[in-house]
Amino acid sequence: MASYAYLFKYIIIGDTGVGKSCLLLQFTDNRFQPAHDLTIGVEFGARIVTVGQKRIKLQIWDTAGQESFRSITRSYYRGAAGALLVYDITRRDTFDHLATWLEDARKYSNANITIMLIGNKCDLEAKRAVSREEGESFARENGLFFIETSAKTAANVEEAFVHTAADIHDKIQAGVLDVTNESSGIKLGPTQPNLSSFPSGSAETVRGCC
Amino acid sequence: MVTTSSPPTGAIARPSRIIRQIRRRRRRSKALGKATAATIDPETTASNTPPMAETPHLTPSSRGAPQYYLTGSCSFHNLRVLARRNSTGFINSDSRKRIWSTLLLIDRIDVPRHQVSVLAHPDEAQLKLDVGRTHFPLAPYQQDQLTQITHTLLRRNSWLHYYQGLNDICTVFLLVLGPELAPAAAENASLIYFRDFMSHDFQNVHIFLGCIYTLIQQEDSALYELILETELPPYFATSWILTWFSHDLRDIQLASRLFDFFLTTNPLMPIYFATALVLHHRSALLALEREFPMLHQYLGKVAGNLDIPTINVLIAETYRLWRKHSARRLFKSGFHRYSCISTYPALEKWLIQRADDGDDVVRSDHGEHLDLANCLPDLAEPPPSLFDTGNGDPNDSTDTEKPTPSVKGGKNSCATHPLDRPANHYEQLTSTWPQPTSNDPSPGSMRRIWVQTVDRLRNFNLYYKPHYHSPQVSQQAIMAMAVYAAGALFLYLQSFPPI
Repeated sequence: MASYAYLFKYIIIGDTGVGKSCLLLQFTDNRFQPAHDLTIGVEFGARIVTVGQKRIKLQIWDTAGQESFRSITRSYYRGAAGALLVYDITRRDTFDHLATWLEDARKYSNANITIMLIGNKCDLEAKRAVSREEGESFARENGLFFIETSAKTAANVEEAFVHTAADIHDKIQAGVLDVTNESSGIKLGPTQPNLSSFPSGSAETVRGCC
Repeated sequence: MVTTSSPPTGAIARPSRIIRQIRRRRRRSKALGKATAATIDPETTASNTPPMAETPHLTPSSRGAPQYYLTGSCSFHNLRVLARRNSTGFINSDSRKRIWSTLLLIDRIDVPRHQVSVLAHPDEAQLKLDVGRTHFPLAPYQQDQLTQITHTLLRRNSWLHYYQGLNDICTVFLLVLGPELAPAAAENASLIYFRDFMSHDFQNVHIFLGCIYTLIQQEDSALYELILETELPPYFATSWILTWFSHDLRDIQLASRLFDFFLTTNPLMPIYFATALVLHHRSALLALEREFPMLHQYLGKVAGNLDIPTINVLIAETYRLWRKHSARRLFKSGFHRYSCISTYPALEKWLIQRADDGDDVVRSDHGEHLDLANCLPDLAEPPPSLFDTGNGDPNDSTDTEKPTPSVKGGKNSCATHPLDRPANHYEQLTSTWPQPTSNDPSPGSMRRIWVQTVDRLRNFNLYYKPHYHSPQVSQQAIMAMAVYAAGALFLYLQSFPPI
């Protein structure tokens, strides 16, 4: 088993067809499927990223976008440390629905959740229906991070996941998030981060030395 | 298997009814004994285990092994045995066309499907996004056919909501039955088997999924403990139940094999099959890291690895579970009486009754008209309009104060969803709901009940608002009103000076 310092739980939400599953597939498998299957219910993916010299395992829940499924997907908000709220820059309605998604996220997740707003399909510049500025201002007004990505070309996909992880990591360092509380969506890895003064058992320290 | 395993109907089995059932079984066993004709084509099934005629009280070891021919006559009961025992189910697309049509109560020749409301269903916008994203890939012309099928289904039954996964079910019907039969099959399958999932939320889906855990709890305490310990939600099975595994299986042959089985049985059978599938992997699950994401991930892949031999093993296991854990007992209070689980026995009884009366479910000759088509006599009538209140004429829909449905509007734009109707509307409707009477088990009456049931179901979304229908609630309401009225009258009389 690969060692890691922390485990963060993520949830990907947003309207149907915005590319949530494609983002996850691009992030975990580095590939793109033009005709991706529908997500029925909830699917799962995991990958380890490195943030500030620390290995962090991301457990990502990819949810169905159709409204009927919300009663199912809501139960996954609770234990999430990060949420990726995705819309499609070529479909105005997916942007217009962000407010209800955000309301759900605020209501059902823990208060310190880090939310990253993602405008996906930025490779389709010609079909753009939502400007970058609009996305930025929505994110600013609601205290979200913002990034435009393309699951097809892999542009910014890595960044979206890693920036979210970095913010969660900062919150841990600042003491905002409690690593011992599992409902915060964070767990200590099997290899403890550098909490003790014994460097020997920690992969973290070894990495630091190199 | 047939009568003993009836699911909960809410009705109490009376002694007289039970005696009648036993008599009927005896009659059936006699009928089967002398006239079990023919189903499977001998060439295609030479290598398969020969299917047996089996009645609820014949032991599996009594091997009469009669030859079946799909071209011959076959009762519902025999179809059931065939779907369970023959490793390839109903074998091929040709026989499936006939048998599925029969099981889904459609005439294979002339069902008028073109009389569709011109009003768009609010869910069509969603559908447009999903036709290109079916699990079994479709060519562009097939995607158009799929669009047609689902539009027909939704426009003719505007109280039904589309959910993601229905496109996969319709795809199976399209690929197996072809574009002529698929619209009717998809519609009737939705009405008979999937309508519980097609309400505005997934409340019923949660109930269905919960049943899997009820069964696991009965069957395997170690596994159940693991589930409790890891707090694994049953949502790994969402797509299994919503699409009858067609969202997960590798190819259409496997999906049709499973559909063969599910179409001959109770709508709860996919739950039992899902349970059998989980139990099949119990040792692997118990060996995994005791973390719910791991379990979810593992279970998310098991349906994709199914093949025909495993499916057959699982079907046998499913039947074992079905017999051992009676749905009637386990889920007695779980399902509303207008759930498809509760209304299915009416259809089942009717189909079995035909076999009892020596009437074949499937007719061999092409020219003969299937009687079963009469089951849905209103197919030729104009469908209820989207905002029909249920008592006016269908032309009412042009009423200006009602919102005009549009393709653009999301689900929320359907302001007058049947579930949003006032409570008394439901009271009014349910008071006339047809109920099977145990004094009148004749085929005619069963048919009448089924026809009326389907007729109503087409028009009103009447299941799963239990507090609207519950007789207890209405009785309580009446009692409360009576008490208030008496109090008010008393106070009113008190206000007059004494005589």
